[in-house]
Amino acid sequence: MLVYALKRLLWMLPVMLGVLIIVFTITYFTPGDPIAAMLGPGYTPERYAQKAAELGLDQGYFIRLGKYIWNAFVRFDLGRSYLSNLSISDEIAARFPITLCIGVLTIFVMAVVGMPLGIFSAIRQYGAADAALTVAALVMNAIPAFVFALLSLILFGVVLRWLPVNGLGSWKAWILPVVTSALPGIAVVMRMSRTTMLEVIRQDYIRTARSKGLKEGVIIRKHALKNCLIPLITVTGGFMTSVLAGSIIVETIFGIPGLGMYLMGGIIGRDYPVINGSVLLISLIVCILNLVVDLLYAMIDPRIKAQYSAKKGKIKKSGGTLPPVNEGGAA
Amino acid sequence: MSLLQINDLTIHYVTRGGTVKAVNGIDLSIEAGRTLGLVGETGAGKTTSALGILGLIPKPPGKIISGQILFEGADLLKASQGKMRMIRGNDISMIYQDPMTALNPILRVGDQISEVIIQHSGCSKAEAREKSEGMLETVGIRAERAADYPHQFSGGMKQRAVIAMALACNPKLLIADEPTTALDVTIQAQVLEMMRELKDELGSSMLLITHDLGIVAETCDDVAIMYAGEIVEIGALERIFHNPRHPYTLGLFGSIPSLDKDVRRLNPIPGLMPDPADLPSGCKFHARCAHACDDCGSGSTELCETERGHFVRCRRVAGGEI
Amino acid sequence: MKKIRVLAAIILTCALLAGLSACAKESPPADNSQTNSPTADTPSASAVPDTPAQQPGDELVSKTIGVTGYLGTFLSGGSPAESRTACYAVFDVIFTTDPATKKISSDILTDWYWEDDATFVMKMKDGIYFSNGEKATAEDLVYSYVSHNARGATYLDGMGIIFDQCAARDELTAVLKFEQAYLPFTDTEMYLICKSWAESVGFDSDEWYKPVGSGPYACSEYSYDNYIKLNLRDDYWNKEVGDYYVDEWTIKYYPDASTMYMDLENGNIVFCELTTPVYSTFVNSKPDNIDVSLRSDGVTYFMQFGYLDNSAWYDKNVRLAVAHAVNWEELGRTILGDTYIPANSITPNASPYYVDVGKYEFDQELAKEYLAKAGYAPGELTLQTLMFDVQLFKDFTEAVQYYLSQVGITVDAQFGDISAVIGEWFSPGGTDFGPYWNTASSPTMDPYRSIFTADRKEGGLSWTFIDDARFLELFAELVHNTDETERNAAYREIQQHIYDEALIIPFADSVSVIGFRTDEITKEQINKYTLSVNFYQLHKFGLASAWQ
Repeated sequence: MLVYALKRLLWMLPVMLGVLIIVFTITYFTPGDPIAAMLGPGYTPERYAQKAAELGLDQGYFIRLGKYIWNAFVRFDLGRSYLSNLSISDEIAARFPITLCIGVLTIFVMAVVGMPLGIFSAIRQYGAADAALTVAALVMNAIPAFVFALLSLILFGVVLRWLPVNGLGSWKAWILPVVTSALPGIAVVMRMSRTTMLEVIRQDYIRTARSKGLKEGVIIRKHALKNCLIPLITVTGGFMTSVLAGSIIVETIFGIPGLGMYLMGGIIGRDYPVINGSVLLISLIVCILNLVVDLLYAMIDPRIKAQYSAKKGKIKKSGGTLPPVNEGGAA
Repeated sequence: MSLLQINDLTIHYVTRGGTVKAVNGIDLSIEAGRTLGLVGETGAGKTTSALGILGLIPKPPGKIISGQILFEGADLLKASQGKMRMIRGNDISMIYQDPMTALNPILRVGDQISEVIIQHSGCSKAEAREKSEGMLETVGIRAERAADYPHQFSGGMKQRAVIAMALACNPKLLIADEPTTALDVTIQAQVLEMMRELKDELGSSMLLITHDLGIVAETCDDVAIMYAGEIVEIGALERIFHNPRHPYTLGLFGSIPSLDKDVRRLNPIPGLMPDPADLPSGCKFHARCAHACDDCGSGSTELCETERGHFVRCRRVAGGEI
Repeated sequence: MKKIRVLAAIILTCALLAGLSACAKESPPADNSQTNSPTADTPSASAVPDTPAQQPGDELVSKTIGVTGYLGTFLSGGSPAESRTACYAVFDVIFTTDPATKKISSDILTDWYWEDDATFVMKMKDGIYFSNGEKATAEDLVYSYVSHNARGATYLDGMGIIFDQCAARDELTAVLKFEQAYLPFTDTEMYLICKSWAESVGFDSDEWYKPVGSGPYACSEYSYDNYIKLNLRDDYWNKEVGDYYVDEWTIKYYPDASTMYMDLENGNIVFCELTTPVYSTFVNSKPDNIDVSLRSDGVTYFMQFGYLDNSAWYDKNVRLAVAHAVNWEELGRTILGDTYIPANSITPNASPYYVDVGKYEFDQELAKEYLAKAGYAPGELTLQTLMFDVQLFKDFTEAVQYYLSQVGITVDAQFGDISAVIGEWFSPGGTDFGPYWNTASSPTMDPYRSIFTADRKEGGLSWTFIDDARFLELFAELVHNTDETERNAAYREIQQHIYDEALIIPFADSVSVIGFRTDEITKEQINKYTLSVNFYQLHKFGLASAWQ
């Protein structure tokens, strides 16, 4: 397992390198003159040349790419923002925890609300509650997050004044962003857990569990739920990616000083180093999340764990983790 | 008093597409310590009957229309959910057809056996583990394999584990639903042999559901032949085997290749089992029956005792015509 | 099952750690005595008392204002990089503008003058102290200018200042050297920077989030993209200015402006800039306790002809044809909505230098005559232009395109995004006309502000250069002549000359729209201490006299 995880981590390096080269190349060839944008009207040609040299923008593509890779991979330095001239690594380090915090809370809310509802819905299949939840999931999925965000802002922030509309001043301020970004996820998780649960509770081993005289609750918790987790983890892990991407909108609307807002500022200001750095970080997170999801599979499903372990090599296997199959009966 | 007495049990599956009449008024009884073989083609209602005994018919769509299932004199159909849970796995346990899917893939085999022990005996986890390892040894699996997951077991071992699970609480009645169908022929014999020995050891009764008359001959004391949700012939093993009366039973025996005679083709029963959602009137078998007369297509046919303890559901047999 | 629990525990711990580190970033350890005071939850809760709090230990008066677009830092770099509002409070601005007279004034200088055409002398007040206790000297004053390039600023670009000849003459006298006298440099926002401190930390340091300055407030909290908290200093050097009422300013950043308006309605902020549609909404719906202040911010919008891009503009008849072909009033109303204020000259009506030069009648027959006089038959003249695909630029270009098509001038317009277009604009060709205005606004309302880049043939945008000999002479007077009488004459003449020659066509005032809480402040206060949305004078706004 550990070897497998390490291997996967190593594999991330070429992936990140690829992402970096693609992102760098795209921004390199994007039309637009960052220096002109930076200096604004009214600069002298000398200042232009000076600025270009200062930022290393007067060098060729390969030199710049090489420098960028060296700085990013070896020194963890993503350069400086064209607009604010601040270190991007520092800026991201200051902002990312907030985005991550909201992301983790979102996933948490998603799982904690979505799964029980989905399971409830599955157990009461075709009941009134199931129908109501199905409609609710449809609505949650159909309305874009930002519409929800704005509507809830108006309702809770302006009309009722229960919650602040901006910033992260108090714990209350976290409610709307987290709920808004979790809503579509809740819908997905709910539908997914309903479907999976319906499938799982029809499995033979659930019938076996029933014929053992176990309580229904135990059957759902111990036998069914764990078997539902794999597809749910896939969905949830995948959703973390869209939560990160969606942070651009949510953070902008709710005024949350996170990575999303930083990236948004970079996009609006054509601040390419900021865009590069943020995209690089987001893709790193996506890579890590994929790994985590895969490792979670193994933790839940021994069959997958066996597959991973098998990849370690044959020596370990014959060393006795799997004892020889004993077919001979005692009879 | 019989250990299990089923009277006039009727189970239907009510769906939008129509009512599937899976079990239509069966009467059965199993005496303590004896083995009843329930024989029939796929779709005859064998498994539904077994699930009905355990109260595990999925509702909806399943619906018990009428009947009684008396287990040690108490009607299981009237028992509460809690009471049924106490019976399941403890007094009556079941072995399913497919050992590949009957075990939960993500729980250790030992834990799956311990679970039923803890549930019914209330003993500690450690005791249960010890006992479940003992059960595994009993079915011929090394105790340390208790920590393995089902995917690390072969098909035969899985079925042994399922049997260990089913017998863990010394059930009074063991229902085995085609326990060997999914296994290799070589292992089939081993498993059957083992089941029989264990059953005798524990003094349990057994309801063995199968379509294999060979297995019945080896294992059972009594035989019930089921067709389209009805028992068409029931009686002691020897009587049925030596003196089968119902045309369907005869057909079943006729379709078995004989070692004595050199036949090139099997001799199957012509036609197909009727669709349980659209059963014919009268004798359910009359459309396929070589002996059918005009009367067979209408009215109901009752079981009739042709000799002591041997019942046949055929009016032509009852009338002494065949 | 156990593993799942362990896993859940790990995830939760991660979340907690992340949360903690985030919180730690948000509120750095309170090393500042001001932050110990309890914070009022909602600023609206502390309404204006009859007698402003003056004694220390009284209830903390906290006010919050909203900004959008960019929160900004204290390092005066390019335009979006600094928070002018916060800088005004934390630093002393070397030159500022007197709200009443619209004249350049200074809180830290006793005198300033051009010694000769290349030497500018500044004399400092004695007894200015920075927040680290150091006394400010002419060295600091000179450093504030000469560190301009090192800290990545662009304010002084093109002003002809010779940095390595600037020096302190004595402890309180600083001398700046120029290639030639250049007046507009006094209305650039330069803050008095503490030289020894800046040199010790450098310009890349995080210390710049809580800089040492000599202003009345100090930054106690800087939360990235979130807010800046400024607290009144006990030891502010300037005792003459009077007692302060506001103990704490919070500059709150709203990435999405609509939430800022919600907070204004909720009473969570005292004032903020409004966009035109919101202005209209507020004016029409008149929400409780909210009023709006709409004022010219000192510069005008005008139609610029790209002389270098299209030689047709050198013919006055062509320019006049365009001037009369377009219904400027309708155009202004279309693109600027309710905040449209018509402009005739390059200075707004509110400017002390304003000259009513007259306006171009909307007369398309006349326009056609001018066009014929210039030798163009209908359909013969084609103009092309490349503009930002931003609302105002697009609306303007399309409106002009519509009017010009009615007099037989074809317009071929293309739009692109800002960074792509701006690169094209630096070389001639492709941009024959466009709307232009100086986004920085002008508190002094000097005429040169609107046409600030019109004399830059090189280094500036090619299409904003006005290639007219007399104009360039007059413009040189405006910015280089140190004689006020002569300059005032030039101010008048240039406005008339631009109109007579139709060099450019001013059509609207650039305006500042500020929405504010009437339960907190009055319109007079707003107008007095917020010269425009770019100049909230927090260093004065906090005074008790401002809140009485």
